[in-house]
Amino acid sequence: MQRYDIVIVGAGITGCAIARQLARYDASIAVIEAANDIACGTTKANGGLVHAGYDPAPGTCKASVNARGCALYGQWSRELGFGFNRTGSMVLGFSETDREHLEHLLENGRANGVPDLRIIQGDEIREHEPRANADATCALWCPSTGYVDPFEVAIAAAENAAANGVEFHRGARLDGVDRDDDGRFILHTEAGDFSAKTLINAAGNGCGEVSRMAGGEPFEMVWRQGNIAVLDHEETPLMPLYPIPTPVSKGVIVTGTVHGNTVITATAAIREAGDTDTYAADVNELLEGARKLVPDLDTRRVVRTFAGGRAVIKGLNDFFIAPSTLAPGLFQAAGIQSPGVASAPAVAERMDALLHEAGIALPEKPGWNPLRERPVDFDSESTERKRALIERDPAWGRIVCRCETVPEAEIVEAIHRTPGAVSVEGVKRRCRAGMGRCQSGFCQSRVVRILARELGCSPSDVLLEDAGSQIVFGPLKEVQA
Amino acid sequence: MSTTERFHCTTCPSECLLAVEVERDAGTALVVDVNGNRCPRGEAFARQEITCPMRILATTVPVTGSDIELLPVRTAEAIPRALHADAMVELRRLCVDAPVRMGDIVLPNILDTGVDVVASLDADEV
Amino acid sequence: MTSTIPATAAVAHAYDVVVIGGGPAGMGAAIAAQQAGARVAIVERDAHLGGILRQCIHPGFGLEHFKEELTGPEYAQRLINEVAALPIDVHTGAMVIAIDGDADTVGGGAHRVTCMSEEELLELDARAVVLAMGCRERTRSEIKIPGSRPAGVFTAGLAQRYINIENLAPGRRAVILGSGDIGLIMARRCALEGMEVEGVYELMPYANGLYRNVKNCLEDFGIPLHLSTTVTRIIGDARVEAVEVSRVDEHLSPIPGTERVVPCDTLLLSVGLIPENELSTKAGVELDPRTRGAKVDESLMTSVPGIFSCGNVLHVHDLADNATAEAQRAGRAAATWALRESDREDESQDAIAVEAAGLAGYAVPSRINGVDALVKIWFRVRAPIECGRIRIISGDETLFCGKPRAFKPSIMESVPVTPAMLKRAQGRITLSIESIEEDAR
Repeated sequence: MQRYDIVIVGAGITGCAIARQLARYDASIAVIEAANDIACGTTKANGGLVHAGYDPAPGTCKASVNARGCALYGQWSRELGFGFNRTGSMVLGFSETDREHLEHLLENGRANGVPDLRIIQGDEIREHEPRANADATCALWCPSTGYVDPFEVAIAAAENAAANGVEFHRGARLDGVDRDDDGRFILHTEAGDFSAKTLINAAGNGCGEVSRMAGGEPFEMVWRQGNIAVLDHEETPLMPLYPIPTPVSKGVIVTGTVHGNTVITATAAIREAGDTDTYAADVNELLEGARKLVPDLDTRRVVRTFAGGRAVIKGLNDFFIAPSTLAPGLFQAAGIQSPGVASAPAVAERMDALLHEAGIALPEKPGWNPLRERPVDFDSESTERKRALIERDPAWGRIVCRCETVPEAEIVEAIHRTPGAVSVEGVKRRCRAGMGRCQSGFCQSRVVRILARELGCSPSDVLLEDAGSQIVFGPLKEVQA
Repeated sequence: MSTTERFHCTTCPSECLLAVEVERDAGTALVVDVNGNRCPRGEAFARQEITCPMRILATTVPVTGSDIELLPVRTAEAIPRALHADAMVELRRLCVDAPVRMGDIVLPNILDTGVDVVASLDADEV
Repeated sequence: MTSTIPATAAVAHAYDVVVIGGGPAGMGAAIAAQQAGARVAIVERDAHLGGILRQCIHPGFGLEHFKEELTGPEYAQRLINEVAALPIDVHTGAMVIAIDGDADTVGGGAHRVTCMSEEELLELDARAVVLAMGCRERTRSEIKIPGSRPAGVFTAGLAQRYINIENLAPGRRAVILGSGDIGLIMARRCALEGMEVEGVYELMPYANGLYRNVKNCLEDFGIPLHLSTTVTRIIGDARVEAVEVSRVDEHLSPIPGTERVVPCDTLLLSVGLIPENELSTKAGVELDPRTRGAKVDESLMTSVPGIFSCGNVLHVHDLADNATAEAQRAGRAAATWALRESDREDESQDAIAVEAAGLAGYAVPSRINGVDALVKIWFRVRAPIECGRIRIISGDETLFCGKPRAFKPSIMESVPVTPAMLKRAQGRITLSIESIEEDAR
């Protein structure tokens, strides 16, 4: 049985951020993840906005980490080498009632420490975003909002954690938790048993179940499902544009992405736990909502629609970040719904503080490296650098994904990173092969071959994502020597 | 008694809708009249289609020693449609070695039809 | 003339015409350009010439161009052999990543084509460029099929690649959405290779493919075709377990209560093709929102002087033969442009704009520069018309009125516009297809 000082349950953006934060200490740390890869739950079904923090009610846990998380993104993106655009955003108002809402958000935001909020009107709206609906009469201008690729953030944090000694166990769904005579947690998982002195619950939608197994606070989860649409690249990515929020969500938001796409995010409906289906009515709501904010948006250019469930604790419209009062040694990072992406660095910081406050010995680790080098993104490299790469290794010259210009070398590299890609979707999340407008119609068979070669398996064993998601059967015809 | 069967001619992209008057009797079919065709090939097609539909069979066979894994092949001429399933079984046993040139016979006289199966593409040796 | 292309350290290759894409259009363009006296290169991203024809192993090609029925690979191989017999430089395994990506590097109206291969980053200088990159398939997301996102959903072309090139089976029991030719061909192909094909479902009240394919690919194999029916949900967690199909009403909306769950492990989509013009757009080429291909004149030149477009990257063709024929025109025009004596550009301001109206889905070309030669306008109708006619209109005047006849959206057609008609046109002509009532004949 592998023994760790700290085990984090859940390799979503929250778990990976905590792992990265704690990797600076001289402690043995592992992250266990039910899915085949990191960032596969709520993190994957996310619009990527780094909300500034004017939404949460002052005094809530969300309010305490949102603006701080947003502020930390600049530093995190530099250290971890992921894309982050702090573009600013606008909440568009179309009436006097809307203006009152904006005033309310402004006050919230100031109370929560969101910098430089302002209500603007008329031409100033169009100066920030020329494509914003011309009928918008007023807007809340928030310069600190930005966006990221949420799986890139989680992957970058995980890789940096791993480089500093954190171990990742994927395909390790937690089946049960016991305590040994020393009070250590014994974690029974699909990938074997682990022992941990400290257990951190960052299990996203599974956090209710994990808390229950570990003897922590009983809470039920609500599956507040959201559909999201991704549109093809725009010449200039759109600034995040928000409608006036609804009582349960921020409404349908339109935003650019770090890769130049447009994302429309997200609907909100209570559905059966685990439901990641998309729904025609939701997708229509997205497209209609988007057109209200950006009337000239060509919604025919949808590249992908997807859905996921926000990790919402029933009866608590807030995060729950605290040491468990029922189970000593258990720390909760639970109910991390929206704004989970924006808050992640601050949630990690908070967890760090909570462990210290609990008196857990966390000496600084000599040689801790906060930096993670960004993998080569061939498409964005200069001509000279491209030339040099191809000279070094011909695999840089073999373009596999033509929509996103991803060469074979980038895919091989994604497979051999730690933790590396083990599936077609894992490759896609790491280097964008298959992410483009043809949705892997051109490159899938090639990526399957590369995965089979690099993982030493047959193409018919290659998975799209989780266990059972084999893509092809074969060979169709036996080649006789 | 004759009946009229309607189907499209597949000889060329014009796809004429044929009306074929057929007398069927104890397993035999006699074409009485063909209408709707805009060229003589339509009439020939209709008669053949009623008595014994003929199709080109196109599939693949594995090829070794080349940079392609499957060699596309075809029957050089149309063969009876009814033989296609058996022909697929026959071709499934086949594996050829590169080099192969388009038109090379990979299986002569398939199922005694008098028709050869030929390569559709070059497979260079590597 | 060669002095207009300044030598830079990186440039090793200068051509009159560079053709991007080595499929039935690209090879056709290259051959025609070479025969017109141009120095020609083809850039092809695959390891072999032939394009998508290499995986279209079925017969039905070549009746126009070669006057005999060929399979896709045979059609490709014949063109490959023709290319090989001519002094045409072929760069395979090379993907173009930019045309005029760095605007400062080339002068004199020439274009720079930047491509990557495993050997090097190639820079080709070209007096004329022919775009022949083909098209891509519409995806599940573009038609917004709701449900889960498991393994087992393929575009028909990807499934075709798995079966015919990769020697892999995409599944065991397939449902096919879309009765376009590729969907029909794949139904037969799956059946021949031992997969079960539950049925083909078509949103429209008519089959989209050729009758020949309905007959030879479905009827021959007893595969049912369900018209006015579409897939309304994909079911399955890791792998497709079933799809839900529903009947649609006359507005193509699913009718509640008609849902039926069809068990299968594979869904193949044959729901349309889209010209792949991202490279063209980056080079400044203006697109026609109807075709999603370039706006071209009668010589197939795009809005960027010296850049031509042909084949499926211009508009989706139903026959490779037509793509090749169009490409030959583009190749000849590109050679003429590349070898011209002066840089005089005297025509464009007087161009006649061409528009599609009525049931005509689009018209190619979208502008006509010269009025002294006959020009064919290519079009496709948006819906089947039992009895309709073509009208060519300019202002209030009808320049041409065709005989009443049937039109099918699966068939691309052309109508000739004579110099006499062009001379009467007032800056703009409209190609209109109108449905006419029986008694109006």
